[in-house]
Amino acid sequence: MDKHHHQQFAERFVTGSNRVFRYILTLVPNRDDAEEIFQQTALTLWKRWEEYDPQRDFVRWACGIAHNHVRNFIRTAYQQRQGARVYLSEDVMQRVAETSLNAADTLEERRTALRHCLAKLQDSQREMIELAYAGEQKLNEIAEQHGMTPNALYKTLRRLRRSLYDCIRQSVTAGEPA
Amino acid sequence: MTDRPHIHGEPSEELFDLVDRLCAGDLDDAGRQRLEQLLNASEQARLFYAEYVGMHADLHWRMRAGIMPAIPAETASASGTYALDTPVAGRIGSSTSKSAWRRWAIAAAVALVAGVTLVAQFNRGPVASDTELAAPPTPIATLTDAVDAVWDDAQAPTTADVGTSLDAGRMALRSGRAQMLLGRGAVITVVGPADWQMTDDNTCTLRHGKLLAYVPHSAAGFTLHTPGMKIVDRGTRFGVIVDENGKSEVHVLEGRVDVDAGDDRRASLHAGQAIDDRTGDKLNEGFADGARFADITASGDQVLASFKFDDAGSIRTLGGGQPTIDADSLTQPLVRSSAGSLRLGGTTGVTNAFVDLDVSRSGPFAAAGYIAGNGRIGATGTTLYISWLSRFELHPGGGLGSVGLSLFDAGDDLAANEPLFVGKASALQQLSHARTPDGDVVIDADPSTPEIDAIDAMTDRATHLWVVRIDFRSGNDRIQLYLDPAEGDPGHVSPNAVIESADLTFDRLRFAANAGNGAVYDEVRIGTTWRAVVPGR
Repeated sequence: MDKHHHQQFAERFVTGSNRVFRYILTLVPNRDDAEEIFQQTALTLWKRWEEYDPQRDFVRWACGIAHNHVRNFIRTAYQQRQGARVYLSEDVMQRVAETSLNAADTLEERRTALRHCLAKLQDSQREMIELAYAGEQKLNEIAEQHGMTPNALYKTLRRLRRSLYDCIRQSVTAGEPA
Repeated sequence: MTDRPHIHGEPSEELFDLVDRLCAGDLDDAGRQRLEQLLNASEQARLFYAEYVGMHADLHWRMRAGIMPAIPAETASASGTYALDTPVAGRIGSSTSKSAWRRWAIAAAVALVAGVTLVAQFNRGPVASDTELAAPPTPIATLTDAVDAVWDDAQAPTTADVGTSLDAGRMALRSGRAQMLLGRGAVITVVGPADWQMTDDNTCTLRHGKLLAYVPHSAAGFTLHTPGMKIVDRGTRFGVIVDENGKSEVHVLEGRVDVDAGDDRRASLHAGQAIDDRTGDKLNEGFADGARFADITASGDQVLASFKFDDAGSIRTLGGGQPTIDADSLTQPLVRSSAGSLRLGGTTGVTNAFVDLDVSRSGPFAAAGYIAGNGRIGATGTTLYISWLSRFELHPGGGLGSVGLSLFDAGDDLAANEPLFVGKASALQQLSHARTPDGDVVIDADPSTPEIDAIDAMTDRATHLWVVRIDFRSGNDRIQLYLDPAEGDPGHVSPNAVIESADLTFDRLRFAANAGNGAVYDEVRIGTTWRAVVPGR
């Protein structure tokens, strides 16, 4: 067994896992689904680490494996749940996947900007985003805690996502060499 | 930085609406069809989609992980991830107090970990003392440090090497200083000229000279006799000076001691108080003068902060909710727990809890020299140890969320204030992380083999002891992580991870158990030495 290879693989797995997760969630925008697929993908990657060629881009390789899991997942989901969730059709998904992989560097840069943009939110706004995305509580529970109707919370989160998106865009554009 | 595709125009409101509804789980079939049309028609639309849903994904990842995901692999791979510790021998030899303490710790490790017993012979002179008791047949202490020590020939250990085991008996120093680790865990440092005797593994007599005692929990009840006093320690740090006339003064630097001077002259002293029997029949009370012991304390074992979670007093939670204190404490061979532990996640409703550290100018970190220019912990040139117990109870459905302890700096914000996370990162069952904003490091279960060994500590539902050593340096700091270490010096066992990708300061700790996972934390200690945070058996 090539121990150096294994070590290299482990490092790349750890550092690249957030990008693989993002890729999956971009194709399947539901968190629970994405996590299930991510877990399956992680297992497959660990089983197949010996096949990994260190010369190759790890994230691309891992996303290829993730994509297969996405396809299987959606197929099974449609069989079992008969359209309980809405997924993009396979050809659109393929095109989105390509765009996402090609823009990988930009997306990484945006992720860094997200961090700063989150810090710019008011405390209460940030807390709301954190609660909503932590996934510990249902949205109507969070709404109740904050004395809001679920609809108002829904709209608030939408506004917050929008302002985060705008902030990221500004920040990335500002950092652009002229 | 060219050829980076990004959108120059605003996305249409319709596209924004559809994509956001998709993220919110609120898109119907008609909406999906329309979205597919738009995505099929334009690369710009697809890029907006990738950016917006990518942000949605990053938010999920970030909240699950409890911290911002790491920066690109290129930087992390240069982090010195799996380097084993520098050989200890290469770091011994200078006469600084630091290296003296390293020798001390090495000696302790030799005696305690390897089980090596070096029987010392004493050249005992005639002793006329009513305090001398029958010596037990086994060594009761270890000589853990000797700096410029000139021993009185008649009262010296035959081998004055650090690491030598010491029997009960009388010792005398003409000058310099010596330090001994008693069997129950008390550490005494004596400055010559001094004459003293260790009678058993938790009792000493000081005839004259200066002595500083650090008494960890395991050695509470440590007793020091002077010609006029009996001083019983209640878990603390105190100094005693006995002059040539046999008069004593006691200075309590931490905790509490009870003093009995006979004839119903008793006193209970708290940190900051002092007492002496130098004049008259009464005990004279005063203020403790730590400066009298500055030559010793500079390198002592000190617990600077500890959290036992016997109650919820000092705990703050993020997002509301009351922290849950379990009546049961965690237990681990090297760390004695008090009642109570902090439970998070699972059904408690609280997933993030914070404790604040006293970084004020009068606080313990300032007194020990750990406060950096920014007013938080991390002064360059210092070394700090943090230990804690934890038990992870991962969600049976997969345990995707992160579980672990973090250092936070100047705020509670998950995105901006978390320089270090240690635990099970999100989504990874077997591998655990030590994570900094600039890179991730895998924790290797068995650092004695070259490969990265999967770690059971994440999934075995057992209690584990974690120890983090931080060497604050100019530039990036060096962080070493130990999982269930053996007793003794960290230089003797390989760390399970080494992190050199962060230049950090901090002022609070965060405990987390996210996404349905549960975790129990207990016995958090921050101290100046390994021994301060891992008191041992």
